[in-house]
Amino acid sequence: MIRTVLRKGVRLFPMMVILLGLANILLTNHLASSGGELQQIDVAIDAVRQENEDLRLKIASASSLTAVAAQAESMGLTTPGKTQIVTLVPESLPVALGYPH
Amino acid sequence: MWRITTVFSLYVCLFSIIVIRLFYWQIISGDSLRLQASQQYSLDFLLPASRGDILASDGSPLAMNSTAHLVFAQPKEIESISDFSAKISPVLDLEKEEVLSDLSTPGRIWVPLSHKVDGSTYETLKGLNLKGLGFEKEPQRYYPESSMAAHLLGFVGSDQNGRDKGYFGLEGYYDRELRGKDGRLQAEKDVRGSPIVIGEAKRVEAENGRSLVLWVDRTIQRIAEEKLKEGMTKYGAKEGTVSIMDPKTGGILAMASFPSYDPLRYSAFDKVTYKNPIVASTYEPGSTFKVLVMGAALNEHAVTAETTMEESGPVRVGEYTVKTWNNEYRGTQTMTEVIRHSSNVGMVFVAQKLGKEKLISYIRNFGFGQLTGIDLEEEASPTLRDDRQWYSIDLATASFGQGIAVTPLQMLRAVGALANDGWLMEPRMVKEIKDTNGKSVVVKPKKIHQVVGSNAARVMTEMMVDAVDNGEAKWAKPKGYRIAGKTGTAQIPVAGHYDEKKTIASFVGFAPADNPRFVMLVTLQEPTSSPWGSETAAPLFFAVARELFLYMGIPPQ
Repeated sequence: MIRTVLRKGVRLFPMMVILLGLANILLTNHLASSGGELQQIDVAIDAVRQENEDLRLKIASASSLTAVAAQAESMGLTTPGKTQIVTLVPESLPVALGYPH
Repeated sequence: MWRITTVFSLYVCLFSIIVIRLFYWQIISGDSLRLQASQQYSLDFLLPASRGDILASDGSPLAMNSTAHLVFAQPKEIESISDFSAKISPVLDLEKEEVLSDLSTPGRIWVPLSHKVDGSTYETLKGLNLKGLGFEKEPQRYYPESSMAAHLLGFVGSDQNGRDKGYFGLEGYYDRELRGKDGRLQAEKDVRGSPIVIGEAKRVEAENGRSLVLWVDRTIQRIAEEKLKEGMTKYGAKEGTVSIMDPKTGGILAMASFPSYDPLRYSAFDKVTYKNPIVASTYEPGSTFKVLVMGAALNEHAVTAETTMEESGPVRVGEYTVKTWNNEYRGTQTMTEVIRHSSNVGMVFVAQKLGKEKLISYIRNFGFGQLTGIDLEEEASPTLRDDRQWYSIDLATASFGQGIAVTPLQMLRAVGALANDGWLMEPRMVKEIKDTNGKSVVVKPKKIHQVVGSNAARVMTEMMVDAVDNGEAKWAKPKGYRIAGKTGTAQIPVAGHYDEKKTIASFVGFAPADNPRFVMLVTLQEPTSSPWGSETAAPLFFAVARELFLYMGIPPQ
């Protein structure tokens, strides 16, 4: 029984070597030629990164004080002439006191 | 026999020729062949690091990067150099003849035409679809707030190798942190130029520059710049500065100075405008210095707020005569009144009570004659004269702020000590440094030493509040607020004497007096509407203070 298995194994061994060798060649060939895809992915990453940077720039520009002031002016808002300070009395303080007489 | 010898000799000759040839290719030409081969099968390029941002205290960028392009030409691929030059010169604003000459130079395969070309010009050039015209991305600094805070930011120019380098301000001081470190990629490539995944590869990632988070509040900076511009126009001043600091941390909230420049187009401005006058220029502080001398005298118990002196007329010091600023003499004056009326005669009395050694010592302890240590590139400090060179007249004039040169930052910091229980702080621009991995280093406020005790600081504060409420500038003061301050009008020294007409008007103060949120110094050089600080710098100070009270939500006391 063991001898039969061993004999079959010995016969199959060269075929396995050939098959594994072929698989190795195919895999290596596939990996070797995937550099182009990798480069395309890198280019896509760069493009997205650049878009992020451009958007960040647009946000910074739109939220700058200069831009906000210009927008406010175009909407008809003006700087106040004189500031009035209004003090609001807190609820805990009485508004009117009862005066005993 | 001879046939065998002949054939053998032939073999030996052939063999020798092969050996010599192999020696030539492997040994003599080995290096150049290795280089050629390496260029054919390996990729080697720089991974540029991006420069860090400079952010205001609320995280909004004051300086950041935008993408610009280097425009270059490859003469061998150009069909008609003349047509090419004619089309691109007007777009790049270059002389056609110069471009023609550059492109026609024999042996040139790559010609740079223009650096840091903006987006719209790039699109225009791209639209021309010219063969031989190429583009390469390069970073360019962008300032969302335009030329605001130019002096404290500095600008980015080029070093001798053409690489970006920061100059002046924060860009100069923190150039190494902001610049980062370029990376490198070396990999094997195939015939199409794509990297071979299973080949040899060495990649060193770029370390992007660190970003700086400032103490500067962009709203306060804008308020300071707008009010300063208005003030300079109103009072006809040649130059002006407004500097604002948090006295408790030393954090600089705003630094405004004019004339200024645009950091994006710095080369179009005079180089004298690049230096920040608040840290690099000197002036004689005049009467604002009196609060420091009086504070020192109070601390030494040489005088109290109620100590009196007789202001009956000018006082003689050696061969010199010291008068009051308006030649008016009010008789018996308390120290509070000396400050209120800004009496030079009164201050000579105080200086004499304090004594020479102590006065000089306090001047040094308040930080004069040495750098403050602020993190800006161009800080300078005038040196104080040697102790042995202080004569009685020098002590007298120093007591009212003449004959001594200081920078506005030194003055601001010194008065800031009075607002901080007598503690002198190191002024700082940057409060945090962040890297791209999210790690940040917090720069903690630094106490230098206590110049005067808290009692003396409190008494001096009350005297300054009295000076604002009852002094020459009381008409401009915002109602309902306790502001501690002092006016100053210093004559400008010109060729060994003081100019009669030209002055530096200033006002220094802090508010609210009981819990100061800011200390501010305003200086106006040669105001033409009036030479006096009480009529120019003081109202400008109060105009800024009004805005700050609103913005910071400080109610009237």
